[in-house]
Amino acid sequence: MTESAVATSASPRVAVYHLPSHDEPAAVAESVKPQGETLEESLLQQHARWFCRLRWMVVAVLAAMGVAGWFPAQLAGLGLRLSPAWPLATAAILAVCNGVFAGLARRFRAPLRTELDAVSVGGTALTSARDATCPAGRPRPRSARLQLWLQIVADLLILTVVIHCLGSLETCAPFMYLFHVILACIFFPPVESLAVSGLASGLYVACLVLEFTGVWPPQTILADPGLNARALLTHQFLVLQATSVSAIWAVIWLLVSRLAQTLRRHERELAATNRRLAAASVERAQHMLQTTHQLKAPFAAIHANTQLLLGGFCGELPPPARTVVEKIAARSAALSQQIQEMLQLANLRSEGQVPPETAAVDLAGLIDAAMTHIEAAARQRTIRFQKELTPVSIQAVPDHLRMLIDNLLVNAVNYSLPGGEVSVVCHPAERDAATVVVRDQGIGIPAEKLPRIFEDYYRTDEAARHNRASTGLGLAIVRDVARKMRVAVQVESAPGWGTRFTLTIPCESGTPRAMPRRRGAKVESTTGIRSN
Amino acid sequence: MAYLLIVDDDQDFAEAVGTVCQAEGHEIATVFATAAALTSIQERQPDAIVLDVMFPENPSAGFQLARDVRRKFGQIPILMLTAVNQQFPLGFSSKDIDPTWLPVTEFLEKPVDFAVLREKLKRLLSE
Repeated sequence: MTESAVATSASPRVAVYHLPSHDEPAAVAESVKPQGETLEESLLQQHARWFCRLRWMVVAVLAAMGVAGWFPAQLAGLGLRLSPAWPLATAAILAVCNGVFAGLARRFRAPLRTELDAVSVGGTALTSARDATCPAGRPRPRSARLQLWLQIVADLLILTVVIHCLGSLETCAPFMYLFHVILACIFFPPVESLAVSGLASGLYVACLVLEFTGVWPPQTILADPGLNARALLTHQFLVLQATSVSAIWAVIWLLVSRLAQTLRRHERELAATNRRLAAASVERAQHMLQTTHQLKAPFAAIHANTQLLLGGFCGELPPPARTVVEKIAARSAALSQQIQEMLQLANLRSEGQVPPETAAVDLAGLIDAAMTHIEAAARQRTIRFQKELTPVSIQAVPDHLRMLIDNLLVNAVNYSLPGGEVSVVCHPAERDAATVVVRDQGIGIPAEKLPRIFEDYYRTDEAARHNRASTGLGLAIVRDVARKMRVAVQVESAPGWGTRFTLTIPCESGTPRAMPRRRGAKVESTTGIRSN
Repeated sequence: MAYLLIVDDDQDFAEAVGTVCQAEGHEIATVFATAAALTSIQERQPDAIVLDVMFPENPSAGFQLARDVRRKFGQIPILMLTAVNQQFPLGFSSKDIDPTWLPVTEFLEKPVDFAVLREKLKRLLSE
């Protein structure tokens, strides 16, 4: 091919990628952008419903006032005069309005949803059962705020009528507008809450103007308004009254809206932090899943291939080769076990992830299964098991409990002397607990080293000499699981005597029920477990 | 003698398992991806499937394949192998061993003891 042909032939399309200079924020953990500094829709829905419930109390108070109006003589004795008509009319109107508001609030009720409901499991997104049964979707945008606005405007209009009837100048009734000013500061951003304050001021001024111009004849519930009698009041006084009341509301609006802003900012920061934590938890879980797999999977292949060699699947191995392969298998198994324990410990110590579910566990059954699992290893070392297991049901995370018992049993077997005995006892204890005792007659632990045996990677010199393959993490796992499960652990040990671990495991679900003893249950043993 | 399909992205491990199964007198086929597994099952339905959980393309590809097999091919016994066992409440919830959600017949943790593997396969094939 000539150069010109090369030059004119089609060149491969080279893709270009520019590495970003920083990590893109995770979609789940993106920081919250303040949207007009409002409460979340779901929280506003809650407030709208609460407001409706509160309004029923106001309806009851107005109705009671109306009923009281039928007893003018008694009211006169209190210096009051009250027509039953206006309280009953306003109560009726308010009740109708509240019925409509309550219906609207129920119609747009929405489920609460957190990021944790969408945790991805092994790459497959899960949704919680709660989401599966709740109506789909959130409320329409801004519907909760509109509802609250409707409620507040209706309240202010009716309140203005009530204040007029109670006495807009003769009584302190105008200060009832403050309820809505303060609530608006909590529900809405500053601009909207200022609008509510302005509306309240405007309605009050309009009420005064209508009364002063005679359009609305002034009323009062006071039998003798005294110095506040309308005939004595000048228009300057009215202006002063309207101005001072509005000024007080403005100051209160300023103070409360600032407080509410600060609180909302803290809430948003907390919500953002929670979202980041949830995202970090999900990310960590996925990372641990991948890490566990990437670390353990290669050992599966090594173990499988050493089994092929040792099992004769590739022909008979010469003795020196067999020795080498056995060493490979042993070291590979030890490293695999160490990795497993490290990952278990990391998982136990991980804060912030969703705690595993507890379940009712047959403690004796679990211990029995664990003993069966290491029976072969015990038999190899000519170690006998003795067990006295009374069935006890406790509430616990089964996997954690299994880790606890497994590690104690493995330690007991590993540090026993050949021909020795490991005994395990399980029975209900006082104060809603169960007791498990694991005793070996092995090498024991010197007293001065006893406090350290639960440290990560700690092994006594004697233990290291006796069992080279030990990782030093087994009792660290026991410690972490015991702390999570609030299990009390007591260790008794002496060199040459052995070691005894006594666990007191709380039964979270009330009194530990000693399950019915199976026929024939007794102290058992195999070649391990000896019958008495 | 049965026809077994081994599905695992780890070629070394899959071939080792295949060697053991062949030594038991079974006929085997090995695939290293779940998509290829479905094709293989369509061409010839195995008597049992040995299936890994995690695959490079998707950490839960094994789960999905098990459900697809159940849906399309009925009750083929599935022995699922996993390096991430139930002592890690990470990624797997108690639902993962719910037969209605994860229709496998047996779980086996890696590294696999071949004696246990042979026993489980014998049980699967006899049921």
